[in-house]
Amino acid sequence: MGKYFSDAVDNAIEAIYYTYDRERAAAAIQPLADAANAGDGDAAYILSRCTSGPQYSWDYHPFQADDNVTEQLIRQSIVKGSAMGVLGAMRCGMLTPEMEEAMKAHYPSLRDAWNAVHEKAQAGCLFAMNMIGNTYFWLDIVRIENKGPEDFPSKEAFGAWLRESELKCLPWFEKAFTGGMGFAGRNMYNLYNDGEEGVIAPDKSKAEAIARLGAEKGYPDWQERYAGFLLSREGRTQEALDLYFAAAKQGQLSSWYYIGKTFQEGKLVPKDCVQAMKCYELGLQDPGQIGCANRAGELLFLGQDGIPQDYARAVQLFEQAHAQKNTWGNDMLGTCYLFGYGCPRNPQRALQLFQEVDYTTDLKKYGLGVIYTEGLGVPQDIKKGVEYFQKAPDYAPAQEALLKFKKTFFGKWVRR
Amino acid sequence: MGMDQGGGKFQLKWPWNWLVCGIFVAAAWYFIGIFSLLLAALFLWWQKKRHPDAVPQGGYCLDRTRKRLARLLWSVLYLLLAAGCGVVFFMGFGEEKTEISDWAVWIVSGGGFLLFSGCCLYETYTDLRDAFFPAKSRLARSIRAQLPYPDEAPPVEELFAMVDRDIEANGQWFDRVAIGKEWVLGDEVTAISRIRGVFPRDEIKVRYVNGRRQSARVIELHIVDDRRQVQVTGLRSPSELQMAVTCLRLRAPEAHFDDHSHITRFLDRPEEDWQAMERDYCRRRDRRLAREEEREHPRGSYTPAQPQSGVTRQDIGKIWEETRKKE
Repeated sequence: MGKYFSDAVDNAIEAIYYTYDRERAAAAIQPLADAANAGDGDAAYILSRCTSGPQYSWDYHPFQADDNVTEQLIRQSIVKGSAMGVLGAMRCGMLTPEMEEAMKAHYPSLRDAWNAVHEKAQAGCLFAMNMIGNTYFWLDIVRIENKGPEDFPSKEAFGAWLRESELKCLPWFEKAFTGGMGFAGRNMYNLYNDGEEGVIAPDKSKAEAIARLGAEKGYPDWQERYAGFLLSREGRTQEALDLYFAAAKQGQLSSWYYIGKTFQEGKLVPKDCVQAMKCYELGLQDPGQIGCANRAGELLFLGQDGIPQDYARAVQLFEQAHAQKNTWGNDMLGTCYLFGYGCPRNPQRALQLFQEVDYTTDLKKYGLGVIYTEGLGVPQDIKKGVEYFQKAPDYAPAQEALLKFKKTFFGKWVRR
Repeated sequence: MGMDQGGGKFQLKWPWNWLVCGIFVAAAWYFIGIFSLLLAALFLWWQKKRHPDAVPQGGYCLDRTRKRLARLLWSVLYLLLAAGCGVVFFMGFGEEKTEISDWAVWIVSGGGFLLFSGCCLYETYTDLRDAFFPAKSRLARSIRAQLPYPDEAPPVEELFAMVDRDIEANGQWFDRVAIGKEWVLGDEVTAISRIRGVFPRDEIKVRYVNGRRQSARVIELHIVDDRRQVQVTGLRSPSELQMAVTCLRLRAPEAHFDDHSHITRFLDRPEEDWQAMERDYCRRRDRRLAREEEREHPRGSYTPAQPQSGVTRQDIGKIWEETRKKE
């Protein structure tokens, strides 16, 4: 038997929430599944968090999200008597009346389930502390304590109780965070950074202090966040870069984006696009790395500073980012489709990509100019196309294209 | 009579095509008078509209030299003026001149006769020479002047073909000026790599004759090459002149672009300044070419990295299923 839960659960919590070690986290899954199968409700709950997506653990733990499995496991955890499962199900809206009935076989009320977790938290379990903190932060405590406006003399009194309850999350989060659970700092940071109307005013300095503490403790996600603060500070940019490197080395793949960008821009370090490209490639080990996909795509599209032009790979990367609803590289991707660079020519798709974004670049103006003057996928409108070319006075291809048209005596634009 | 039957289409060769056209116009004149000219103009406009990008018979350069024949109208004008002056001059031979004004009229008409006759002869000579002997034309001479060794220039057919090829493949037309990737074809020809200065001229010249104001708009493109030679082409539209300059800015970005009023200062700069400018030009051009070269053939050390074998993503659903089956 472990300190707070079964051995499998304690080990899994340690591997997944108190360390940033992908291999260790991956190794904890099978014992957890075995324990859950043997009837350990807490194991089923921890396993369900692993299938719930990156927001339920570290972004780079190697877990595949699966909503159906999550639901099965949450049910199993409640049926098998996990108090954490009850609180977790309540948080993600899965505590249906049917599940609440199933809960009653182990805990007569929600309050009893909460008490069970609270007991673990008071005994020093960091994970339980974070759960208790969350019940206050998200105001699940209202349902747990079965309270409503009618239990208070006035609406204002109810509001005051809510505010007071929400703020009770802070000591729990703080204890868990300082104790070694980097994950527990997220909501605390958000509360200080964004503030909450009527509850707490934004306090950037406290938010930064949390980030600094996390960085000092060596949590890679917090190293990255704190580096973001330092980057804007005069004379501390090198420190920021060091932190990004430290985070990236621990597996925080998003940090490679910031390092690569630093090399690409050449402001803090000498410009080195080859190095930048290598960083982006490291970041791209995570297919969700939109920033790395876009920046690497840009370098390959432009083919400058030692990077060979590779339209096909650029299209692949821009599409990867676009599939995640990101439109940063739409002007370059649209240009590729318009002229058939590295992909089959498809002016309709190019037009769609140009129209999806509200930013304007010379590439986009030029592309739209070509589409309208040539009538590619739209009725030909030389005047409109010429207007787009004219909006890019510093872009040589647009000016070159403009020379192909002239205005007649009657003011109509025609091909020269 | 020369005729071209290439492509299965019968076509009269220059100048016979124009001669036949002239005969038709003259015949039509007999029936419909001056409207025959209008009809001919309409026909030409329709032909141009049908084939806007058609290469003229014989090529762009030859077409340009042949069009010099149209300037024979100036010869006719000079001839008429010379005839007028001649009549006054020769009639005054036998007359007694009592007053100074009589002598003045006689001398001025004599001078006018000589001047206009000279102009007529010169214009006729140059126009006929350019049209019928293109090897000696102003255009051919300007192309030779752009070659590294003008004395060893190939025959005129090759010279013209060289320019025609570029204009046909890459040419952008601005009124009477065509700008390709290597050549600029106007009344004279310039190699783009030799362009050192571009000076558009758009001026309204005003003069007063007998108290009456007369104005004329001069629209010209002056191009200065690396040998300080100036090639001038007249245009009809100021907007076309601006477009031509814009195009030259894109084709020869290192050249000096300025207003025509500064051309003299540009040409008269001392040899040392000119050499310094030449060095600066070469440096900037080489830098641009190096950038373009690198774009086409990157010299960087980047090679795409092999995908790293990281920790595989755990398919927890599958693990869970298999664990449950074990029982």
